[in-house]
Amino acid sequence: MNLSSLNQKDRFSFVQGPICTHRITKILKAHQRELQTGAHSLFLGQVRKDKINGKEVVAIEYTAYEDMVLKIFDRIKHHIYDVYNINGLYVLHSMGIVRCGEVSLVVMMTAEHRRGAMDACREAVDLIKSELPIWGKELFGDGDHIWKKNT
Amino acid sequence: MNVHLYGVLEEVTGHKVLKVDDFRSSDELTQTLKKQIPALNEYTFQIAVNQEIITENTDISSADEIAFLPPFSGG
Repeated sequence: MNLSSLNQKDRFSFVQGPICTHRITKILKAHQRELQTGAHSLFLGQVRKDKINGKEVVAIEYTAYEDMVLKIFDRIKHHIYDVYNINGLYVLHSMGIVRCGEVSLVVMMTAEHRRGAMDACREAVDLIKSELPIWGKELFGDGDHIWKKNT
Repeated sequence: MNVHLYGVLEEVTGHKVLKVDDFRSSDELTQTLKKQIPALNEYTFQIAVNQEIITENTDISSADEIAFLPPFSGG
């Protein structure tokens, strides 16, 4: 397995439902052949069992303005490459229903050195959450829901 | 012209896409739609023209892709 076979490098990938750990492992494994990389920084966003007005969230349902997501992500990617010394960038985001405890966002940076990877990952996560037209609907066990607000 | 609605706006209006008369400016469009669909007044949203957020009144035509976007909450 190599990086080109994954076809996710420098791209934003929509994943239907939760992102399984197998997919994350595959990305990590492929990097054993990328010998210029000395650091990976990996962020995983997991659906939290929030309690809102006394009711527990059981899942989040994600929707997106997908074409615009890809357009804005392209801008974020160029910004990250311009500012940080990274070798590669991976973003996977769930669409549809993701239950509590499951992963809905993966952001990974690879770089020669740790500082580039870690700083780039932090800024990319912030920009993904603030700039991309994606919406989460928090679903409760009783069938009710509330539209998620990012903090 | 078509106006695409996302998130809570799609839910409260019951429409993914609104087919409306042609308007020449984004202000004219939003003012009219807020009168026709009072629920729109209860939510904050940004407007995207051709997948770019606009921050001031903008000339529009039926060829433009227009979308109303409530606050983002991905991740």
